[in-house]
Amino acid sequence: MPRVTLGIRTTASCSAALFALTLSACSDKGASPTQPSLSPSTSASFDANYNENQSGEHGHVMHIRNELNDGASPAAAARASGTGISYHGGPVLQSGTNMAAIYWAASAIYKNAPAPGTSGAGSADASLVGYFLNHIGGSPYFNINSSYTNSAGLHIVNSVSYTQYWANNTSAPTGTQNVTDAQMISMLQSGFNSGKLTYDPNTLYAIFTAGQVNLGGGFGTQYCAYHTHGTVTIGGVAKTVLYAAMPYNNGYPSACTSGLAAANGAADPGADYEVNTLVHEIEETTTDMMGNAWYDSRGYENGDKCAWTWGTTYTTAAGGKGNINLAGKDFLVQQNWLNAGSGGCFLKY
Amino acid sequence: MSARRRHIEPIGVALVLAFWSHHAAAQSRAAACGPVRPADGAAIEYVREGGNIRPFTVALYADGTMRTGDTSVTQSAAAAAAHVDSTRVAALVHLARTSGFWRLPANPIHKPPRNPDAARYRISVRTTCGAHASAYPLSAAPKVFRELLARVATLSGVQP
Repeated sequence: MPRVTLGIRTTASCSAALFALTLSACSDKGASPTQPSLSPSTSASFDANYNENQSGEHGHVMHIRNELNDGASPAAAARASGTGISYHGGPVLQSGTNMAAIYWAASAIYKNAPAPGTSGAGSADASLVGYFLNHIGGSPYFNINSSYTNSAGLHIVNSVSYTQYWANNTSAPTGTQNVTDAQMISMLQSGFNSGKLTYDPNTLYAIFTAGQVNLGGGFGTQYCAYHTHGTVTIGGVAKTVLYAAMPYNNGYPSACTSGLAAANGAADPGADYEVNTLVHEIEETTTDMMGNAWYDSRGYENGDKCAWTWGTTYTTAAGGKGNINLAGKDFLVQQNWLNAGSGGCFLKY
Repeated sequence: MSARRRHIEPIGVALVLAFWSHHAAAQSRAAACGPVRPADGAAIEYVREGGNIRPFTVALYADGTMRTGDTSVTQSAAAAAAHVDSTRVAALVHLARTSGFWRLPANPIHKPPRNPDAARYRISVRTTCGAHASAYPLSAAPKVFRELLARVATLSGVQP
């Protein structure tokens, strides 16, 4: 806008001409838009003025992603790798990912799952989810995550250890009940306090619920699962806990299942569909546990970049669709982003 | 009348005229920009993408043709077809041109948002005088985006 200062002796015609010219220069950008980007996978320009300060859908107790992003050591200068994903300086689970499953329901969510009220080693979990967690580590599929490194340049170890489960039937949510992040963290805290869970900073605590229980408030409309972190108190000291909200994906099949026949047939379709979103959260937690390590220029983590793409599938012996085999059992899981070469979505590395 | 006032009044008139002229020109441009012909593609595309939820695509054409696709299953966006009121498609395109949607950045997000696994919604609008697209997760979408998204969702019957 031109500054029109009263009293300055310029002619009206000059002022009007100047003003009109300025208006033209600032006129509707839409008159000649330059972004005919109709493909959702193509992106071009970015707006540094984006404000992430809107209210979130979770009401996290510890919403510290922004602060962490800003505070991560070399965060200001992401390391471009030419693979389509960059490192931003934050921590990763370099030495291996530990897993804990919390089945938070009054009765067993998955077939052959541990009895409600019990806790123990992951090896004792005979459900299909348990089988997956006990065999995904060391697989060619999970090896894709070894293409990522920590701040010292050390590659992530291809290891997932299913160390503990807790079939928690205390105050279990039911129906379509909304469960906030604060409530999930409080439940985890109760597990640490009671000894049903053991705290470990390298463990992803996956919280499974039944039916249409709405973990986080956006289940089935905004997401089918998510990973984040919170703070718990262990021995009087505040600690960061990594957790994933894992609502029952078969409760919203149109949004949260592949729509393809379950890999293991009638064995437990709910578990078959769940492992797809579960592995998404495991690989994202492994490479971007605090949201300030590995992600691309659009803020997509490795799992996001390949979500709901299957690669080459095959028909399993049970008549379902699978794309990986873990020690004899077939599963259908999304591809994962390889941080090597020129990058891309793959099923093995 | 003071000398100062003699100068100010013509300036004021000129400013009003300039504003009016600019406004009229903008209105004219907006009115002239209709949805692209169906042969040239969808006038409006509404996509759920990213995050950890199954994606979908809704494409609305100038003649009212609507195509929906589930990219997770079909890997393409042509799974189903339906029809909507073509005048409402044109009205939505006009709204997109005039409501401020055109000024939204194409890709405003650079780092994982508060919930990295929440879907983003992308709206792409193609007119005879240009195209524009923008994408946000619902929790971070500005009002102008949310309002357009709600109208597109209502017209298509596909809710976010």
